[in-house]
Amino acid sequence: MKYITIYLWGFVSLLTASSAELRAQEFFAAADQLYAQGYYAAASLEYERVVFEQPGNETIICLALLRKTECLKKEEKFEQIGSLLSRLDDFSLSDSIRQEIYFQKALGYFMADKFEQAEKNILPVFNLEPYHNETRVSSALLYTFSLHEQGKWMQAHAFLRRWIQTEQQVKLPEQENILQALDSLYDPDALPRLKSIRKAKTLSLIFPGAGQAYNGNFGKGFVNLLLVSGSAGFCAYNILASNYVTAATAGVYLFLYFYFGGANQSNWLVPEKNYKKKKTYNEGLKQYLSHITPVLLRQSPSTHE
Amino acid sequence: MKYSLLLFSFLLLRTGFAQAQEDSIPLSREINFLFHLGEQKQLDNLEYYSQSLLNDSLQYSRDLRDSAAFATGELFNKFRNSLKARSYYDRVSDASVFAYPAGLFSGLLNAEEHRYEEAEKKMSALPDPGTGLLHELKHFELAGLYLLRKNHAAFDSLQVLFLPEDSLIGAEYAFFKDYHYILQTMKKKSGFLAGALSAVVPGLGKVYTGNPGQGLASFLRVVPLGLITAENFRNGGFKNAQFYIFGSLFTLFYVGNIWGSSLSAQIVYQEKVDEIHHNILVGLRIPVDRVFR
Repeated sequence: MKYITIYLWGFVSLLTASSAELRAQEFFAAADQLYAQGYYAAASLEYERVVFEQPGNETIICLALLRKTECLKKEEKFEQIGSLLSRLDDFSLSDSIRQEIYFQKALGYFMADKFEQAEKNILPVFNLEPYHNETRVSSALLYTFSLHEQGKWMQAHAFLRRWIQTEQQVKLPEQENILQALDSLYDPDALPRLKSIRKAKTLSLIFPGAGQAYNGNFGKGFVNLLLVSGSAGFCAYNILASNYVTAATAGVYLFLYFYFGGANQSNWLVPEKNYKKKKTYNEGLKQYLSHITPVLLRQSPSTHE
Repeated sequence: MKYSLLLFSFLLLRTGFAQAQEDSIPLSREINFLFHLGEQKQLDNLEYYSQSLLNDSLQYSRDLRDSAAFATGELFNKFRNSLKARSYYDRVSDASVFAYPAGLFSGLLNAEEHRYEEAEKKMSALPDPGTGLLHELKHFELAGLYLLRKNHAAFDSLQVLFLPEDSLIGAEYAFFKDYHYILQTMKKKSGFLAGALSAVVPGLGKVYTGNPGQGLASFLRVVPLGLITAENFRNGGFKNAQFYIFGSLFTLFYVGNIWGSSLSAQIVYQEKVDEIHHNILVGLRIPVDRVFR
């Protein structure tokens, strides 16, 4: 009797499982069709339905969520990608799928301008076996771009050098040329000299307008100097004219306002200038790295496709 | 016991049960998927799916669409999107088993967005069993809304008939009675007197209306300007340009302070009323959460 019960239970479970699997396959096919037709919101919902129909089947769930990621990218909802893929239990999946998940997650963060999170999420890719060369090259570039956006150029240079020399394994005729080009691109003398808010503030406090001039804003520095000296002159004039209350209140107030106001201007002038410098420099790096990408992709040393 | 049945139905809907995974009960399957979307915080998908259920009257029954509307309202309410939550609660039909909680939650959300008239309409439209907890809850909510709408006559007339048996509703209702008394007896400070006081001593009007900090700040702004103007007049008379500059500034700040003091009487009064209204809104939610959550 006990064996019959076990047998029946097993038979019913099998039937239930296969029916759920069939249903999930139907939803998957429908979702793919909707995606192909450009109905991304509807396709995204159908992929989520696959996840709902197949609880516990990590492989199917993973494939559905990766396809859903593509829908989110088409809808430009990049900020949702990280949390979507965080739902996956990475450790129950194969290395090749994990590599793809880490890459897509980091890409989502990068596109959503969360560069620090992009950097953290791409790192695990490099600890896995190199399955897909394309993802691996893209991951290396994404990691580099994330570092660039944070102003960590030396770290990006060291990483790229090591990666091209050791990870790629195959000695390319172009390799030496690429490394030389990278050395000149990341030359410490060529790196953008980012300004310090603290230094700009200190300079402005020592001599009004000097902080702005240090940041390259000569016009603003000159105006600040004029305002501070004007208010000091106003104060002195009133003392000489025996308007002591005017000098002690309005005069001192105006002087302090322009003196400290000029120093505090560095809080927004310096980041603005640094952002422009970083952007221009990173654009040049991006262009060169895009140029060498086909060369990097040509070599597929130890892929397990 | 009606509310217990209602609660049971809701819990059944929310948690689902084993057979819900089978095709034999498609209703629970659709609703379970809605809750899955909510649990995974896929709110775009949730709205898209809910709309597709609600707009397809051929494929889905009235019961299923009501359940979907209520479940979606609950999920958006959970994620503090009261505008969307309200719109879904409002789509639950009157014949549904969820009509009472949907109307109640929609009314509460309207009240929290200061749409008191709409909230009162929703609460008045709730079915009234005549006795029991749901009856008391409805009248309790209406009592709070009368206070929020400053309809003290309606609150008085309700007070004569309404004696809640439920201890929690009774306790909150006692607070409402206190607020009713305070709102009726609370007096607004005279704007004219506040302005006159500020004309004599800058900032004194604001001290009178209950804002001593603002009063001191006004004093420190106006008096130095007055002293500067007087000093420039003494040293240079009408020929002194600085006299005109600081005189104009002083006049501007002096008159502005008088005007501000007379307005602050109304502002301080409104702040006290707003605080009481906030307490009433919190009180309105307490019994609802205990019964339905």
